[in-house]
Amino acid sequence: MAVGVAAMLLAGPALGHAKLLRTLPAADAQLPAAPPSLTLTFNENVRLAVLTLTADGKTIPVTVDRNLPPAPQVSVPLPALTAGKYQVQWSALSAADGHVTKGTFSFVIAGAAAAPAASPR
Amino acid sequence: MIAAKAVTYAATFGAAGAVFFLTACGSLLAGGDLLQIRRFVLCSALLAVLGGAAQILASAASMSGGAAGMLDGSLIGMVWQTGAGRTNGMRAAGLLLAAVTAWSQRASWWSCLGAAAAATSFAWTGHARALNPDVLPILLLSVHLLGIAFWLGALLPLSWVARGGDLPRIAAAAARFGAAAIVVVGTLVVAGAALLWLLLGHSMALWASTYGRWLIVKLALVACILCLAAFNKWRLTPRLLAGDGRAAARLRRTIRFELLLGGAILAVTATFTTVTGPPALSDAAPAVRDYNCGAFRPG
Repeated sequence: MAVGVAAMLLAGPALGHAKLLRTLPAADAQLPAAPPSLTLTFNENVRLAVLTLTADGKTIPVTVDRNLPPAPQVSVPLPALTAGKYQVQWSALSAADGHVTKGTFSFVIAGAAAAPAASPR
Repeated sequence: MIAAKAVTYAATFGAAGAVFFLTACGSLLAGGDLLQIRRFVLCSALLAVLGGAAQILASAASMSGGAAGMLDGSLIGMVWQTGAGRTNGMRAAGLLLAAVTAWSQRASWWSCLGAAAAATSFAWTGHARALNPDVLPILLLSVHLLGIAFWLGALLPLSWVARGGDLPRIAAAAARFGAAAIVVVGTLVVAGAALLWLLLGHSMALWASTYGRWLIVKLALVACILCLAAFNKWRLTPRLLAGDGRAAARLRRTIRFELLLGGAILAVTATFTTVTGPPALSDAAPAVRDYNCGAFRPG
């Protein structure tokens, strides 16, 4: 019983079996220009719930559409970004088992800003 | 989130199991015990519904990275739409039916139906459902859950009956429960073993994976509780039937240990089903996710 209680108290957030396979930009990538969007590819259908983009401790507003149907790949359009180091924190819901999965990655923009992504029709 | 899940398990199985106990042994029980058990069903049902709600809020908070997520309607809506709504709705409806009809002598089948719906609600989301095809895993898990509810949910009511001084009544209830428990526990063990095989994917995963090692802890606790149950069935119940008054006190003590072990099993299960996933669903074994019932993968 003590083991169970300790595990419940010490265990961190739920880790769904939905796993992030790759991102675009790739984690720790050094980019010559700002990307127009962030793309996360998972091993199964997920719904992206939260995506936070920060640079120098400041949060950059991005819009996550929570009404999209589950999909293995999710893309989030980005505003025009200047050179610097960016950190992405994301959380998603596995469509298969309903568990929350989350993670972080970062990338660096070395060059000038690109045009913002076109709005979806 | 894990604590909310464990409480939801315990309260749901407690309510459902008490209903099953009422159905199986109700005719043997005194009025005071009947009233206490029915009140227990009501309170446990309410606790289970609150536990389910807490899980949804905790998931929303986890996604947002802070407590503010609990107030975010769109996050809560996402969690609700991705399985949690279906299972919590089914559980709440089942518990409501069980709690209301448990007060009527003639509604025992309706209360059992409600209890069964509530106990099996956990099968409609989670790892078993993520397997492909999911019909067999969901069926096995449902059988396993019904057995757990029948067994663990009867412990408190049985301990209350054993507290009374009416030895023939205590012996009759213990004997009747024990006779049914042989079939129920055997079935839940077989169903659990079959489901384990599907979720692990291969035998070595029991030792080689985090999920498997947690399962070993659970199985060790299950072995302990099975020993206690066997002691109750084959040592204490015959003594009760023979009129040994000390056996009733002994039964209450062993039931207390069974309750502790049962609580530990639910806590461990809530933990490993939250913080890890079964090997059959991992990236390392993508070909295993679509399992083949006819093939056993050794090693």
